[in-house]
Amino acid sequence: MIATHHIFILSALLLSVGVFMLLTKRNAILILMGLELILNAANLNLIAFNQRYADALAGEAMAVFVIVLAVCEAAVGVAIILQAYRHYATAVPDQISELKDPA
Amino acid sequence: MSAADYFFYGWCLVMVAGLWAMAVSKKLIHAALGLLSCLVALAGIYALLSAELLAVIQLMVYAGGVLVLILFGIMLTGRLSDKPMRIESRNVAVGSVIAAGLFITLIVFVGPAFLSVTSTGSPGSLRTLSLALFSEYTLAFELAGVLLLISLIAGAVIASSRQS
Repeated sequence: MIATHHIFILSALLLSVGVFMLLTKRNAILILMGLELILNAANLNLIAFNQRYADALAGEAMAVFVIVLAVCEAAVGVAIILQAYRHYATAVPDQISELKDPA
Repeated sequence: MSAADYFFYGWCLVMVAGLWAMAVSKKLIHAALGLLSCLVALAGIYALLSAELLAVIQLMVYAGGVLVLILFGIMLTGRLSDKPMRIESRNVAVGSVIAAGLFITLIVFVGPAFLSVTSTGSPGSLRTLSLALFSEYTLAFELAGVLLLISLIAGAVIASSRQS
């Protein structure tokens, strides 16, 4: 069977790339993608470690709920990015620095 | 190495290629394609871990739903005055150091705890997971459905409201 520590290394890589995208990218959509990567890293760990316990399914059930939350986050996030783009005509979070109307 | 191992490392290669595309590409569409390959590779790994339901959910919800949402976002915000937008990065050095430090810390300090763990693979997990979702986790499952409905309505309202 697949060695669990290899899966752990893979999910650590997913998490690191997600954090890298959160920290460096100057585009709201890419930051959203980084968030999805981080959630997927957690999901991979949940499912991989669930394989140790053949009769308990808490990890896989938790992974289902994580996926549901990720969909909610993506839907609301894309809507907010669209509205901010209409309002400020930019998708670069650095340029959205105030809540009132741009002068 | 068994056949499952070869498939696993193949999916790993696909995922690393996707992660690379997301981390360095200058075009939003290329990053989205990288995300797609990551999500499909994850679905393949879930199937290898005998979590078939999760693999199907991953393909349908992530590769089919979230990615299409993100593509809509890219198409609606991607260009400004007919000029395709190029992605800029800032603080690349600091970000790389933090991400690499996180990765190395996880591998060096947390990873050894899992060296002895081997996956056994749970037989018939589709049936047992479905039974668990509708018996033990029914309340959480229904609440997750309600949350999904609320957030989709909220997304539609936020995206469609225009200031007069």
